[in-house]
Amino acid sequence: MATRRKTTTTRGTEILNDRWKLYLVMAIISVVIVAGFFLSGKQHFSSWDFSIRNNKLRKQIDDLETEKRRLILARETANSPNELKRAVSRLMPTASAPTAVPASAVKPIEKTADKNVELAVSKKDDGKTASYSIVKTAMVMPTKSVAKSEKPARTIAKNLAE
Amino acid sequence: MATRRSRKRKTPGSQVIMTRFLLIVGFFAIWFLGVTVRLVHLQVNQSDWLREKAVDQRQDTKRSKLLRGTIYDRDGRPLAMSIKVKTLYADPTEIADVALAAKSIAKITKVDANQLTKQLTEAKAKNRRFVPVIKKVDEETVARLNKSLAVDGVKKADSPQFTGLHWSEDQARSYPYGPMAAQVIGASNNDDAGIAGIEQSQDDILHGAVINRRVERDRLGRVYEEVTEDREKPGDITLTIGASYQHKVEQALEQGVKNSNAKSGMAIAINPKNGEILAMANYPSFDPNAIKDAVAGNITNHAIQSVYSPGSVMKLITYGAAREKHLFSLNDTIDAGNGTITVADHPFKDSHHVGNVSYPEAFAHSSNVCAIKTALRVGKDDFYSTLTQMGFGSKTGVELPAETVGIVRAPEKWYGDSLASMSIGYEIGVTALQMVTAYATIANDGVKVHPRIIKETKKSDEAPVRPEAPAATRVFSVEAARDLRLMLKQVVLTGTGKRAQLNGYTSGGKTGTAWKFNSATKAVDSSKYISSFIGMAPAENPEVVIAVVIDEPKAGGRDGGGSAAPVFRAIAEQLLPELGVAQNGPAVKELPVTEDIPEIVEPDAKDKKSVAKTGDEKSKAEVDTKKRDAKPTNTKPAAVEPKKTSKPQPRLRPAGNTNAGLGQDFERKEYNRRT
Repeated sequence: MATRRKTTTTRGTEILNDRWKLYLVMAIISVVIVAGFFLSGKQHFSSWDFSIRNNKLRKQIDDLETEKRRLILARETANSPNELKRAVSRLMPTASAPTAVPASAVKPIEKTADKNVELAVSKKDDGKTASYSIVKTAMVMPTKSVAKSEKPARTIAKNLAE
Repeated sequence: MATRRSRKRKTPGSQVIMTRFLLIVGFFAIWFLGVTVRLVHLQVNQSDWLREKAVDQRQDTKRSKLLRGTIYDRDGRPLAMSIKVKTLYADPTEIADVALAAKSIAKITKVDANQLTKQLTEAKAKNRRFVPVIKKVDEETVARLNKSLAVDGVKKADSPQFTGLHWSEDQARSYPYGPMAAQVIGASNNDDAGIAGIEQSQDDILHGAVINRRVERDRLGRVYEEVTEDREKPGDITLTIGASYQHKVEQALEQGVKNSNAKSGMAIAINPKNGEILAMANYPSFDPNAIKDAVAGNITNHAIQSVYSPGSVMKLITYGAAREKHLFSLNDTIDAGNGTITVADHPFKDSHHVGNVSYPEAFAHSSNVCAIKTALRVGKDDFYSTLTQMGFGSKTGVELPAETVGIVRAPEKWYGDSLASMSIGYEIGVTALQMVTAYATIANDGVKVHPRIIKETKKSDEAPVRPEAPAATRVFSVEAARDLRLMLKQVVLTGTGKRAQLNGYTSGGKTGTAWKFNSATKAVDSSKYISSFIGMAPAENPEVVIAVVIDEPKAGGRDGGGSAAPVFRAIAEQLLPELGVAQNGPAVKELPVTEDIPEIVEPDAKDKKSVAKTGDEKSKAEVDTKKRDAKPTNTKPAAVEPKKTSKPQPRLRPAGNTNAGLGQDFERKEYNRRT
C-alpha cells in the first residue's frame, strides 16, 4: 500500500513538473515567436526606412550631378569669347572687344569641382540627414552696385592696357 | 423537491445560454460568411480592377532618356553638353473640368488659354494622356511653378499639387561657345538626334537610350523602391580641335573675309605629324543654340562638303610628281619662254614673264607655263597616280558627315589639254580638307596624313578609346618632300606669298586664285574668284599646316597672296606660340614686301580674249602691276570692279561648283561637254 501511495504521489509530482515544463516550453516558444515577429517587423520597417533614405540619397546624387553639369555649362558659357565680349562692352562701352580668348580660358578643367561634390555626398551618407538642399552657385552677373564702384571695369581696363 | 426546483431553474438557464451561444455563433457565422462572400467577390470578380488601382496608387513608371553624351575639345572643355530639364504636361483624363483647369493653368504658366483648352479637350476626347504645357524648364522654374500651381486640398504623390498636371524628365542640349566650331560640332534636334556635324556622325555613341524607371511609394508618397532599367550609358567624345585654336582661327578668318569684302571663307589648321585637325572654321557661321534662326547655307561645313578648283596651289602636286620621278633638282632651270604655251590648241599664259629660272623661282612666281611643261614631262598616268595617292578624288576619312570625294576624272576621260589644266589647278575639284591634307603629307616628309577630328571616345567606366590610325603610306620620298618644302619657302620669301611671312618663324606656302564656275553660263566666270593660301610653319620642320580659302573676295588684294596669305599669317603667328614652337626666324614686325608679284593682272584690252581663254589666275580686278610695285605691300589696293569679259568665255573647264560657289551642287555633265 505504502509503495502504491508513494508511487501515486511521485506520479502526481511528475505530472505537475511536466505541466510546468510544458508551460515553460510554451512560454519560451511564445517569447521566441513574439520576439521573431517583433524583430522581423523591426527589420521590415528598418529596411523600409533605409529604402526611403537610400532613394533620397540617390536623388541627391542625381541632383548634385545635374547641378554640377549646370555649373560647368554656366562656367563655360561665361568663359566663351562671345560672353566675354558682351561683358567687356557692358563694363566699358567705349572699349573695343578683345580679339582673343584669354589664356585662362584654355586651361584644362580642374577636378576640384568633382571633389566638392563627392564630399557633399559623403557627408550625408550617414543617413541621419534625410533632407538636403542644393545651393545654386552659378555665376551671377555684376550687379549695378558693383558697376557703380567701377572696380571690375578698372581691373579689366588695367589688364587690357598691360 | 429542492432538487426538482433547482432542475426547474437550471433548465431554462442552460437553454438561454445555449440559445445565446447559438445566436453568437450564428452571428459570427453570418459575419464570417459575409466577409467570405465579400472576399470572394473582391478576389474573383474585382481582382483586376483592385490590382490596377493598388499599383496605380503605389507605383509610377516613368520613361526618360539618358543624358546625351558630351563633346569636349582637346583640353577637356565641353563644346556640347546636355543638362536635365523638365517638361510640364497635363493628363486630361484626370481632369474633370478641362476648361476651368486650362484657364487656371494658362493664367499661372502664361500660355494661351484658348489654345490650351482646345488641346486638352481634344486630348481628352482621344484619351491621350500627355499634353505638354511648358517644355524644357530648369529646376528654378520648376520650383517656382510648383509653388504657383499648388491648390489647397489637392493631395498628390508628385508635384505640382494640381490635379492632372505632372512633370516629365527631359534634357536640353547646350553649346556654351555658341557659334564656335558650329559646323564641326553640328547640332541635335528635340528628339536628341544629331542633325549635323559630330552630333550626326557620332550619334550612335552620343545618343542616350530610353529607360523605364519604376518607382514605388508608401502611403505618404515617399519613394521606397526604385528600379531602373539597365541600359548602356552614352559615350563622350573628345575632339582634336582646341577651343583656343578654333577661336583664333575664326577671328582671323572673319577679319580676312571682312577685309576682302568676300562672300565667305574657310580655314583649317592641322598637325602634320599625326593628322589631328586643330581648328576647322567656316565664316559666316551660326549659333547651334538657336538652330531655327540659322541660315541653311551657313550650317554646311564647306571645308569638307564643297568642291572648288584649287588653282595654283595644285602646282605643288605637279612639281612633287616630277621631283619624285627625279625629273628635276632644285638647281635645275626651266625656261618659260615668252610666257605662253599651247597644249591641244589651248594657249596657256603666264601673268608675267619669268624667263629662264630655277624651278623654285618658277614655282615662287607661280608660272603656269613652267608648271604645264613639268606636268607634260610627268605624263598623264603618273600625274593621275600622284593625285590619287595624295587623296584627291576620295574621302579623307575624317569623322564628319557628308564629306564629298571631290572630282578627279580618270585619264581615259581627259581631253587633250586636261593634263595642262589640271597641273595648274583646273578641271579638278577638291575640298579644302583634301588640299590641306596633301600639303600636310609634304610637311610630314612625304608620308600620307590621315586627318582626324576625334581624339578619343569614352564610355562610362571604361578607358578612353582612340581611333585606330591607318597604316602609314609614303607618297613622296623624304628628299622630294624636303625639296618641295624649300620651294614653298621660296614662295613666301620672294614669290607670290610674301604676305605670309611670319614674325619670328620661317614659313612656306603657296597661293592660289581660281575663277569660279558659273552654272548659268556653263563656264568659268572671270569676275569671281576663290583665293586661297596653304602654308606651313616652321618651314623646315612644320608643326602646323594651315589652309585659308576666301570665296569671292571683292576688295583689296583679291588673289590668294592678297586676301588669304594675311589670314594665314594672323593664324600662324597666334597658333605657333600656343603650340609651344620655338621661334626660328627673323623678327618681322611689318610686312617686308617691297615688290609684290600678283597672280592676277589686269589684261590689256587687246589681250582680253586670250586672258579669258587661258584662264588661270587672271583677272581685271587688280590694279596695274607697275603701280602696285611702287606701293607698300601692306596697303591694300583699292577694289576695282572687274569689267565684264566679252565672249568668248574662258575655255578652261571647271572642276566643280566653283561658281556658284561653295556648297552648290556640281553639274557633272559639264565635264562631258567640251566647250
